[in-house]
Parts: sequence; C-alpha cells; structure tokens
Amino acid sequence: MQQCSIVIDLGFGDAGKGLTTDFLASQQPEQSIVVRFSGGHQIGHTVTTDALTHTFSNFGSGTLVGVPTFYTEHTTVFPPAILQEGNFLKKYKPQLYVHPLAMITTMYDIAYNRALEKQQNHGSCGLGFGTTIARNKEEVYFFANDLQFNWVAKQRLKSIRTYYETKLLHQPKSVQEYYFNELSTYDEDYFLETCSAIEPFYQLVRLPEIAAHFEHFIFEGSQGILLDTQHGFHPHTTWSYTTSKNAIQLIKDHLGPTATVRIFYVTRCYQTRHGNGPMSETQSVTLKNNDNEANETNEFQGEFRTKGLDPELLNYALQCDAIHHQDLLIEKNLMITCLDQLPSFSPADLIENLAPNFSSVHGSYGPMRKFIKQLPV
Amino acid sequence: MGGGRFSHEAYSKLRTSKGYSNKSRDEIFTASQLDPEMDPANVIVRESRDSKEHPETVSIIVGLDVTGSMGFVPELIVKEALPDLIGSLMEAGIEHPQVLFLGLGDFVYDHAPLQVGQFESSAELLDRWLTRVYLEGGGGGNNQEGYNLAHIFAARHTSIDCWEKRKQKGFLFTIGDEPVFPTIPAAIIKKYTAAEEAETITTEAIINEAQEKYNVFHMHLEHSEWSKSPNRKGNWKELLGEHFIVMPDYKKVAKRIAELVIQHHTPTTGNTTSGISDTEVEDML
Repeated sequence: MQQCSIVIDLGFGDAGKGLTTDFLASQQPEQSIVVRFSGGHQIGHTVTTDALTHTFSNFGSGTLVGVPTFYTEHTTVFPPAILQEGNFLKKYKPQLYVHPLAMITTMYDIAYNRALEKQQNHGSCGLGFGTTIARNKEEVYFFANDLQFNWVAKQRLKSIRTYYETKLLHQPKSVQEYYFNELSTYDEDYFLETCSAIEPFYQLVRLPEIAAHFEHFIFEGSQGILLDTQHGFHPHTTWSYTTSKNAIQLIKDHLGPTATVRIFYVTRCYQTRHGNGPMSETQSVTLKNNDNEANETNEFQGEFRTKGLDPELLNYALQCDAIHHQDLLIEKNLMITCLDQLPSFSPADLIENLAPNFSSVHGSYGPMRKFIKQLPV
Repeated sequence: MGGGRFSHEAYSKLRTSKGYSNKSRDEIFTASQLDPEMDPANVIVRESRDSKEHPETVSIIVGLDVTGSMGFVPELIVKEALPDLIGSLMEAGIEHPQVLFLGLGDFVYDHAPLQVGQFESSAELLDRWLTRVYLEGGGGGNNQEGYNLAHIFAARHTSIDCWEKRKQKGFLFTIGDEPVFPTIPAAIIKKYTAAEEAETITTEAIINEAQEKYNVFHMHLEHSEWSKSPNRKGNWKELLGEHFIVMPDYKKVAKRIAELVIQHHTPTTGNTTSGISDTEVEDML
C-alpha cells in the first residue's frame, strides 16, 4: 500500500525539514520519492552525512540517499541553478521529475525582485520566487514544458522582458535604474544554454505517470506555517502555502483513497526566525553545541534570532494545518530537533501542552539522521 | 526561508557570463595603460577583512604573468578559469574566500610590472579587476620575470584577518612560464611599491618573508614546448620545493588553486561545516 509522509514546519522556517526528509528517505530509499509541493529554488534545506553537509535548494533532501525528487506545478525552478547544483552533486546522481507546468524563474524576475527589494527591504532572498508567482498570476507564463523548445523559450523570455518593462513604467526611477543595472551584463544566450544543458537532470512528467513506481511519497514542505500566505503575519509572509494544503490535494487527486497519510510536524525545541518579523514573547534561551548552526546573519535576510518555544503558537499552527486536511484520516507525528542544544528542555512537558495526540514523537540530538531517537509519547 | 546558495551562484554566473567566448583579447582587455587604481605605488596596504556576511575569510592572492609571452594565457584564464575560481573554492568547502588579483610582468622591460586589484569575495568583482588589467605588449627576452614583486607586495603591503585574527595563513599563487629574478633591487622596490625607503632583497629572502603569513606557491604553465624545458623552470623547485607546481594543462589552473587551498587550509575547530547561504527565512517576494 502506498504511503505518504508530509513534512511540515510548525514555525517560521529553519526547523529541520531537510534532516527529517533525509531521515524518512533513508528508510526505504529504493521505493521512495520526494515531492516538492510549495516554494521553489529559494529554499535552503540542510542535510548532514559523514561525507558531506549540503544545503539543498534545487534538489530534494533525499538526494544523498539516492531518492529522486518531483517538482509539482505549485513550485518554481531556475535552470542555471539546477545546472550548478546538479553538477556539484553529480556523484549522487541527482534526479528530478518536473511537472510540465512548473514555473520557470528568469533573470527578469530576479532583477525585478531585487530592484523592488532594495526599496522595501522586506527581507526577500532576492531570487525572484515571489515575482515569478506574481507574474504567473498575471498570466505571463514560462513553463518547464517550454524548456526543450529553444524558439519557444526565446519567445517566453521576450514576453517576460516586455512584461517587466511595462511594469517598470510605473516604478520610481531608482527601481528602474536598479533593474537595468542588474541586467547590464546579462547574457540571454547563456540562460537559454542552461535550459538545454539541464536535460540530463530532469524528466517532464505528471504525478500519476510515475506514481506506480514508488511506495513512499515524502512531501517535503517549505518555509513554515507561521509564514504561510494565509496563516502567517503580513507583511512577513511568503507567496506560497506552507501548510499541508497542496500536498493533501495532490494525494487526493493522484494517489487515491487507499494511500495512508502521515504528517511529520517539525519544530526545533526553541523558536527561531530571521529578520524583523514578530516572535512570541517567551524567555530567552542559552544554546550549546550550536557551532554548526547553518543559519547566519546575511545581507538579504537579516539577523537570525532564537527564543523559548511557545506551545500556544504551535497549537495555532497545528490547528491552521488541520483546516486543510479535508476528510482524510491522517496520522500526526512530531519531530523535535536540536534537543542537544537545550538540555533543560522537556519534550514530555511540550507534548502534554499540545492539542493533538501524536502517533509518534522523535527528537534529534545532532545534525545527522543517526542522532534521531524515538521519544515516549 | 531559503537562501539558495546554488541559485545565488547561478545568478551571479548568469550576470557575469558576458559572452567572452565571442570576444577577442582586445575587446576583453581594453586598457591601454595602467589603471591608476591598480598602481601599486599608490597602495599602502590592501586589506582582507572578516565581515558579518563573510565571518571567516581566507585570503588568496593570485599573481598572473601578463606579459607578451603569455598574453593568450590571461585571456584564456579570464575567459574560462578565474571567473569560476571563487565558485570552485566554495564548492570545495572554503566558504568565504577573498581573492586579490595581481598582474605581474618584467620589471626591467615593462611599464607596469605590478598591477594590484582588491580582495574580493564575488566572482563578479574579481572579474572586474581582471579585465581592467593592462596587457603589456612586449616583455623581454631575458628569460626571467618579476614574480617576486608579488611576494614583496604580499609580505609588506597586505593585512589579512585570517592570519591576524586566527593564525590561519593566507595563500599566494604566482602563475607564469619563466624563472624569477634573483633579487629585487632597491630602486625597483621604491618605484613599484608604496615604500619610501628600500634595500635590495634576494628572492629567497622575500619569499621567506611572505611565508610568514602566506602559503606560497608557484604554478608553472607548460603551454608550449619551450615552457616545458628545465631552463624555463629555473630554480623554483629549490625555492619552493613541493609548492612548485607544474601545470601541463593551464586550463585547470583555477581548479588546482582550489584544491591546493583545500589541502593546506587549516580550519578553526568546530565551525563552518555548512554552506554559506543555508539560512532559512521568509521570502516575501
């Protein structure tokens, strides 16, 4: 029987979705596939093995154990980045399946994103994810399906260029200048070259066409419920649904009623967030063993902050997610990460304060999957 | 959340792939004289500093022979190899490389035997310095080059955090196809550096001085029959031992630099095991 595992972050991101996905993928790698159902090429999911610490952005976090990745129509892809990361991971033979209607991000989306971001400083990654979604909402398209047809890809680029040039007419001069400056040395031919050069790394398919080949579908979420476009806090939200909404819909539509569905809700044992957005008012925490923290302050995203965990906020996130479960019978599991960094934390106290009954609770005591332990429920 | 290191890198690459492959050497290197910003006589010290974005820099100096005999090599290196250098270093696990580019020539015959860039952390900026270099047309037939100007510049006119804060040596690579002059005369030091007073120094002594804070390498490019002859390799082996690297394929120079840095860099304990931009944060746009 087919099994679906959905990995969802209960906070503002950074909880350990990469680790959890790698953990699930390692259980039966040959029968598994990772499904990306939200976000795009701007994610950063870190997986650590004895051989390598890698932060995935274009391939799923099961790649190191040989598990392929499926990008659904809700996601964005950026061909030059697939090429670079694909080459970097070559010895792991990374493999993508991409829905023909997955959205392609272009230079123009990135330049426009950056030009706006320089004015607003909302803390965007500057990788054109949101602008790509916005452009698609306005029905100016460039799909994965178009990649293999050079002439078509060229026309797509042309219409996207025109689209932004028209939009720029209503923008201040500073935005216009920044935009054109970003593009001043851009080489469109090279972008087109990468569109064909990524051919070895991907195959265009829809989920039903490959569903029969796999037994375990690991839905790797992005960001966190508290950044969701509906459930997060404006303006500190993302353009995508970060709950299990899209995953549930895909399961219902394509994997049929017999599949079992379990969700792994992931949280660190303390709150984390980047930049200026709100955090719940809890006590500060003193962490140890966090020398390997993958998050650091950087130009785009702002300071990385930590605080004590707030069970009420977790309950809020869990309840938001439950709204989207439709009539499916879903098993809920909890993954508490970074327990080695805060020895005073009691998982048992937390579980008692959370509303759902979890089928299992796991805790991680280090950056690798081998440090994950099952905890008493 | 996100960061998407590979997406950032791909984006930078996309921006800086200026279609070099379709351009001639003259179109890439448009400078017809020494760029005043690259004139070492104006440079007291070049700094390589840590920052929030780059908390643990590794300083790397690449000094490339830009004289006539090798004019096509800088062309090729600029077109193909060095734009990838920073990317190669980061892929190999050096997360915060800062690279300073030097143009080197013959201080007997050339007008600008030392041209200095700045320590840069992005391929894009490094590229900017590379393409500003003035390529000397001539070069002498004296079978020697002023590679030791790189050693004196590194030793006396750079200040690098990796050494000063963490006692991790920086890296100095000179790249060429000839032996090095046995000394640097006092007059040359005064003319081509910001020093006001100077004494003649032997190449051996200045290399020793540079080795106090840099791992010093020389890469000899075997790009032709005569560059393979022992005569053209001079006494580099005696000067540098294992740090004298013969490169049968000069196109691999950036990869080789990255490998050498990885091999000889001593990381500080328990830090920086992960990618640079694996930060996760909301991505509003």
